[in-house]
Amino acid sequence: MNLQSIADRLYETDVLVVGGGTAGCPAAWKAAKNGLDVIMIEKNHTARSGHCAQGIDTNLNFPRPGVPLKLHVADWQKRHHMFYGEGKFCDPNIGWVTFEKAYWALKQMEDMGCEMRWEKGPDGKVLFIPNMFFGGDENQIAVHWRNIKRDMYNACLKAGVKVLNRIMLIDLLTENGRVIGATCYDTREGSFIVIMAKVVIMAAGPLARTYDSETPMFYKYKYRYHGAPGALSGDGLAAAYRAGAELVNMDIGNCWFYRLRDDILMPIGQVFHRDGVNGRWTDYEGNQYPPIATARLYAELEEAGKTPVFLSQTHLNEDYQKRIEVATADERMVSLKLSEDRGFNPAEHRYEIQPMHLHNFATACGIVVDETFESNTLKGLFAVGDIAAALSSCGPAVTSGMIVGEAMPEYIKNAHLDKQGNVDMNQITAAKAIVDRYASTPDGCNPIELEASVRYISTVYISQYKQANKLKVGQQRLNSLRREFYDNMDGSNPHHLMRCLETRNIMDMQQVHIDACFSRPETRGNYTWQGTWERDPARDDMLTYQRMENGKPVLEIRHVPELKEKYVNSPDDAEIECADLYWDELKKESERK
Amino acid sequence: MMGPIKIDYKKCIGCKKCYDLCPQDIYVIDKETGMPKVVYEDECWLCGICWMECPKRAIDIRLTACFW
Repeated sequence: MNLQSIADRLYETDVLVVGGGTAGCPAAWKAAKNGLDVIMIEKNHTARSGHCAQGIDTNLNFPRPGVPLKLHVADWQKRHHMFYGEGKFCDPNIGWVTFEKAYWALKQMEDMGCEMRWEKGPDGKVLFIPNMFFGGDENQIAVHWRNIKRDMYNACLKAGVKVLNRIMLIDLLTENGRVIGATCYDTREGSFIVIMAKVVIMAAGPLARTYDSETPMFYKYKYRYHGAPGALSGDGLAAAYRAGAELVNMDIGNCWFYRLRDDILMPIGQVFHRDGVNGRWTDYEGNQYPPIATARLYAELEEAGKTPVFLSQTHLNEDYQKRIEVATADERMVSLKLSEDRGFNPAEHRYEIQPMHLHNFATACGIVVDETFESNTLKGLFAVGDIAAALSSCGPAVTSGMIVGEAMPEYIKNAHLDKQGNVDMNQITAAKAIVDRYASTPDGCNPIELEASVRYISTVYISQYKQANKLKVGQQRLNSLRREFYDNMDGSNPHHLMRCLETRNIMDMQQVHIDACFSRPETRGNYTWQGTWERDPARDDMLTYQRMENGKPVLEIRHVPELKEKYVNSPDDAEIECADLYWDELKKESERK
Repeated sequence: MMGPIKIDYKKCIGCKKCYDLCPQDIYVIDKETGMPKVVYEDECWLCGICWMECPKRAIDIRLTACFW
């Protein structure tokens, strides 16, 4: 059996980009601009996919003029630890390059044709505002509500990127610890595709669908995740893990809105932190409490029978009310329309504050990379965007994509990748067998129903408590699900088969998640609205790393890398590339602060 | 039964934008009529992309009870 006979379609390329989102598009575009052959595969349609599906997402990580990068990096680590817990992988070297290259990446975005300015035309200015998400010392660009995702897509097409939509990744192909391509599946045609590539850039986004969605609900098959339909199944993570890449932080789930810790409340949409304008905490009877309230206060109110507690903004002006409405609408235009349908009035609405439940681990976990964004264990595999550990949200996604795309020609030259690798037919037949097996099981389990069962295990047996005995039972339940259904899902048409592949990835990642939880007794237990993680300070900054080695899972607990000498010794007033292009806007913003 | 997506076939011109762009791939083009129809409605995420992209505003999205 040879490659031509088994693959319905066969491609050869320099760079394969997996995922056409906010990180994948810049990486593909930049690599193509640098003269490489680029194929970008996307499970959905690149014009409207990824976390930027609505095209209105925003950009973080712009260092403030006059503040040394060292301080920015330290602040970035601090904020991430506050938000995700001390165990979050925050390699300072990665933080450094994303700050250092932020303005350069913004310039590239504009070259790409993305509308980044508030007004169109020559008078347009980039509107910098303080970081809304974490209240940090850096700037972000204010959301202008135009669809930049389509600009990215068109730029990629124009630059000669071969964009393959509705193509799902099955597994990566490897040769001696190096990635040499991937097997894929066409979710419309049902064809089996092999892509040979010198380098694979993984931009497939984070994993969230092992947990319940943001809004708890009982309707059996429903998804509801922040902004990113069809994504978040961790396809890239699972494929990279199976191929030998190392993952980190698979024990940390996170909670977005309504998050309560004993030191801070992150209110819905976080707009309240802007410009010192806050909503008010009120109870049912209208009694008011401090705006930045604590979990302990919540607990006291609960005990006193004063809950539910609401965030009220009736005292704010209309502009703010509108902004809050937008922020709480998940950045989804249709949510505003649906709110209107329901007779929702932003001026009078009180948002109920609830104790959090863990609902995903979208931005804590990821593939371990160094500051060139190459995997530490699997050569030729780059990870950009949310799928790379340490990065989260679209600013770093764009920056990392641009950096990797820019570095590709040099990398391919230095690694002597003149021709494609030698393919191991066993890997191809194994991937083909998975597809064939699902396709020939019409009486198998509905993959979406199975996914719901996997999520149920997370919610009930893992959740924020991670209690050892419950983890064991959860593990047993997952094992029984895997035994019964892992190979036995209904993929009788290409649409369902795509869901089968997704659910396969989700189950694999769930397994890794449970293993990781077992490894860290000190992070288990007592994460309720009455307290925080109970941590062993001696093991702070010790993270759980997992990878597959010779078909066996390996788990290690190691330190986070330190900031490298060359960065530590760099001058505080070092010039930041392209920052002068945006200096006027920046200075204005600094004066305002 | 009420689902979230409702297509007004009087307005629909069959441009297939909804079919092309839906991130959840819930649309299928009906071979006989050439018009989009919702086949995998239970997978709808209510993201509103079809609603935004439809040039004729032929698609309406309604909240089902569990989202209300």
